[in-house]
Formats: sequence, C-alpha cells, structure tokens
Amino acid sequence: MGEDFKAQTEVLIEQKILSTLPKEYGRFTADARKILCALAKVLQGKKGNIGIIFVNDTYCVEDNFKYYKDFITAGAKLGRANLFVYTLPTTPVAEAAIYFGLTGPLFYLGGNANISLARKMAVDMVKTREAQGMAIVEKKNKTIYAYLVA
Amino acid sequence: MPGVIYEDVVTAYGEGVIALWQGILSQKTAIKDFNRFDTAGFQSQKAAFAAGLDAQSRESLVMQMLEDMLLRAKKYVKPQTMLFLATTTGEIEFLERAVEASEDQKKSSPLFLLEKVKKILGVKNGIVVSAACASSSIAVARAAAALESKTISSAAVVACDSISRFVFSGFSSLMALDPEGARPFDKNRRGLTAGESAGILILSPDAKKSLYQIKSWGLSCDANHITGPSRDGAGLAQAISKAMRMGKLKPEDITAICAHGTGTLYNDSMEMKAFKRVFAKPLPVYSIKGAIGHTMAAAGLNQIIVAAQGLKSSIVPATVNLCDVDEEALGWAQTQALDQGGNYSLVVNSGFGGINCALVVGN
Repeated sequence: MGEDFKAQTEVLIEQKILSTLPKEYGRFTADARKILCALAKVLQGKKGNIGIIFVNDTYCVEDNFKYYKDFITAGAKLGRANLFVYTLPTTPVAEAAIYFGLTGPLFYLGGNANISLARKMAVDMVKTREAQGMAIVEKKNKTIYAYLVA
Repeated sequence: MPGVIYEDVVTAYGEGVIALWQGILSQKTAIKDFNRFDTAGFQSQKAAFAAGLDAQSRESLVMQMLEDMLLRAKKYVKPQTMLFLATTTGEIEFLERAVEASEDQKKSSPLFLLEKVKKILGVKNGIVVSAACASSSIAVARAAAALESKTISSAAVVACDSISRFVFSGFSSLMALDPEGARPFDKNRRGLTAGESAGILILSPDAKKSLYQIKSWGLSCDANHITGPSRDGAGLAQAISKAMRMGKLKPEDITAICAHGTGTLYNDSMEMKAFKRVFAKPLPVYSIKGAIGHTMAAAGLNQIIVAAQGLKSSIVPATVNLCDVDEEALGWAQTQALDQGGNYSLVVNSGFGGINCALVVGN
C-alpha cells in the first residue's frame, strides 16, 4: 500500500495537483493519505474559507485500538502522541486542512443518513455564507470520495 | 431563531443545572485526587470526576451519567426530534476491555452509543457529531442551523465524555496535564485537568417560548497545527467574527465571554489574542475548566448552560482556580464574580486539528 500511495502522490505532484508532500506525511495514516489525494483533485488549488465534513460509518475505532494496544503493550506507562492524535475522526481531514490552507468549518458526522445530511448541511452552509465552500469527504468500505460544494 | 426549551447536565459538581451553577459560584474547584485507575505513571493524579459512577459495571460510564437524564428528558422529545450526539470517546471502556481482555472493539464505536440514546429517547433519527473539544458547541450550531432552515422541527443535543485511561494517557503523552489542577488564565498555569460530563439541550425553532436563545454561531479551522493552536488567534477570531456578523451584533452587545480556557499555556494565550483581535475594549472573560475540568466533547454544552445562567442572574462568574492573572489576560479574566447584566454572552471552544467554534447565547 505504501508503494501505491507513493506512486499516487508522485503522479499528483507531476500533474501539479499537489505541490509537495506535507512534512508530516510520515505520520499520516492510510486514510489521511487517501484524503489528501482526493481533496487535491476536487480543490484544484482552492484554499481559504472552505470547510470539510468527514463522514463514515466506522468512526476511528481502528485508530483508537491501535493507540491503546500500543500503550498497553509498552507497559501502560506512556502513550505515543503521534498515535493519540489519530484517535479523533477529524484528524485525517484536519491534516488536509493544514496542508491546503482550508480555514472553514471542520467536523465529523456519523450514523444513518450521514451522507445525505452532510450534503444538506454543506449546501446550507454555503448558501448562508458560513463558508465560501464545503468539501465532503466520505469513507465507504476502504475507498475515499470527495465532493466540493461551492 | 432557535431556543433551548429544556436542559440537564451531570458534572463533577453533581446532577442538574443548579448544582453546576452553584458550584461555579462557590468558587470551590471540583478537581480532586483521582483513583478510579492507577495514575502513578501519568503527569497528573487529579481529575474532576462525577460522583457515584461504577467503573466495574458492565454499563459504560457515559451511559451511567446519561440514562436517568434521558428518561427525564423524554417528555420534551417527539419521535421526529433529530438527535445530535456529541462525543469524542463515547463508551471508550469497551475499547479498553477489547485490548486488555480481547473483547469486541466494535461496541466502543459512538455509532452504537447513538442507537442506545435514540432508543431511550424514542427518536427515529440521529447523528454523531465529533469535532474534538468543540464537538457539542458545533452540534448545537448545526442543530440550530437545521431548525432555522426548517430541515428539522425539533432537536436534542446530547453530549458526553468520561475520564478514562485512554484519554488520561493520551493527554499525558502530550505533556498537557497540570499536576496541580487546571488554572485557566493564571500566569503559573501548566496544563489542563481531565473532567467528565453528560448533558442534554432540547432546541425548538421558536426562541420566544424558550429558556434562552441560540442567537448565532461561527466555525473555522486554524489550518496551522494538528494539536497546537495558532499562535496569533486568527482562526478563533475568524469564528467569533462570523458569529457576530450572523447575529448582526456589535462588540458592545456582548456581556461576557465564556472561554474554552483549558489552562494550557498555548490555548489560553491564543484565546486572549483572538479576543483582542475582535474586541477593542476588555470584556469579562471566564473559564469553567478550573472548576469542572476539561469535559472534552461536553465542554461546549457545559459552557452554554453556564453562560445562560449568567445572563439570567446578571452575574459573570469568576474563573475558579485562577489566582494570579496572566499579563495577557489582565483586565479581562477575573478572580471574583461580577454583577453584570446584559443580553448576550459569547461561548468559544477550540480543539485538536485547529477546530474553532464561537456561539452567541441570548437572554
């Protein structure tokens, strides 16, 4: 998977969709890397008062498990900060917001009808000028989809 | 304009809104020595914990805080009421047990908790809203927005997070805990204190029939650092400006600011910079986290309740545990409560990822 993402990001850099890799790329989870690529394609260089709503039906339970297992295995004395930061479902999209300079609203929605509600919220937030644009990032099975409402 | 027609809360001060408000006014902190689990290896051995919770129970700590509260709230809720559940870790002890005793980790997902809360309240639809420490204020903002756009006809915002080894170890790994207990805006502050809380707000579209109104809101992202706030406060200032613009408010319309005020060096400094960008003249600023700790996803809901009580009573509470006001907060943060009436209070929260929410609560 590492090689796939390296290749994907190299293509995006070649196509000038991504300018460089983020300096924290090494700590990005697989989802964070996919999200970066998906958002690069829909944003096409846009930045500023654009927000992100992230939706999935798995929360970040796997990352939670990874952090806590590592903590327990290491003797339950000290957790690893770079794993702890991923125990929030918003972290992968926040990493992208930092990279692309997106300063709009940012939050996670989970549960039934989360994608239709996310779309409605995004449209309303742009209509009422809460943001100039809203990206929706959806994780379905292992695939990341990104849309932009602007 | 949406308003809150019902509210209830559990914090380290006990059950109910009055217990929370009286606790804040007493200026006695609810932060104490904590021994629910072994904290010897962590940066702090203190927390602000809710009384009477059983860590050995098969029922999660958040459900123990929520169950009776949700049953009392049921009469204000209709089947079509939309549930917004704000949490960061939910029933995290199920994940701890999954790791420690090979149980099923999936049960720890807040999406399972959502179904439990929906069932108790008797509502058909619900969503988990998670945005780090700004989760419940963002949930209230989204609920209010959905009521204004007539997407929904009534909303219940439920917020909850409990103190766990999971979170304690995490904040300790970030060196974010104050061994002495959180001292927001104090020049000797060294970090936050973990707290726990559960609460509910029921919102209706018509503020005229409500306890208080949700006047306006603004959300932003610092786009700066994954854990540290921006050093110049620009992101939070943007959120506050959005809220002021939406509510058609001038700086002099705001009576007081209920700050996020975690007690960390960087957060409190960032907030003061943000406030000074928006408000040319000092306003009373206070934090409740020296009183009830940092209740994570529930922080915003706790702050909204206290801000509304303050407007109702014409009192701006002091910041509990604040002794020596930091230079940056002089003239703003107070060690004594103030008699001050007004119509609007600003509530602000910031979270990991640079997430900011500013919300205006009205009388």
